[in-house]
Amino acid sequence: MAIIVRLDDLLYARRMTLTELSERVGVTMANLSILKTGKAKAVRFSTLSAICRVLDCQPGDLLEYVAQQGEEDDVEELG
Amino acid sequence: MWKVEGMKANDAGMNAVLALLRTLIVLNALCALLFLGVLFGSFTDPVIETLRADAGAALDRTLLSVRAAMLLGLIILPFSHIAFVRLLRLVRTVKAGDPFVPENAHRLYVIAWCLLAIQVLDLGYGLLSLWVDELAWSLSLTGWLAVIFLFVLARVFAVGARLREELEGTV
Repeated sequence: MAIIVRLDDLLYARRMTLTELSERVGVTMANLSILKTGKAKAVRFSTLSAICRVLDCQPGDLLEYVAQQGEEDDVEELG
Repeated sequence: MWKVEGMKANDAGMNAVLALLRTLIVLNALCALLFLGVLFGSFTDPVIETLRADAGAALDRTLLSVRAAMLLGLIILPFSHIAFVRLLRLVRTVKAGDPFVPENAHRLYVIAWCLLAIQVLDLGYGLLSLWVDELAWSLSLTGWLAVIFLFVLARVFAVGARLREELEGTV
């Protein structure tokens, strides 16, 4: 997956635990873990905006795009 | 897993359905034993003599129709057993809150085919009723309609399972 989730870094910068984030954002620990470990396939805008609100950040702070080999193939699949 | 929140009331309903299905499975098996008993009994002298008193000249026809009816029933009962068991397993997934899995689409197809077999075999009773006046039979339109419903529903569940799989990993 070419999208990297920088949740660990942001949590550390804000001195917040995953548990606390889960309570304040209203997302289950299970789902936040999925997001943190890069296993999420999609993020709802509602989730993204809640995280940005609580962590006081921009989507670009949380998500990073890294160009990968064979990216053209992925685009075919999305069609 | 996708437990749908706020559906606790349905648990009681699903439990009732499960209890009903378990009862039906047992009754189904008992019915098979009954049909077997009558079928074998129709070859024994005590039963034949009792029927001779009622039927008189039509004894052979009566015996044949009783045996045919029991045989048809015995062929139908395995299909209803399979359908009940599959439905039982499906209801368990509904109770668990995660019904849109591919297995359930398959279960519904199996139930649909079983019901189709039962409906076709039911036509056998129709043929028998033409021959035996005492046997009342009418075409079960709801049964045939249910077959259509089930095939459509199976397809719906297949689509639902695919949709659910696409949402897997959505945060």
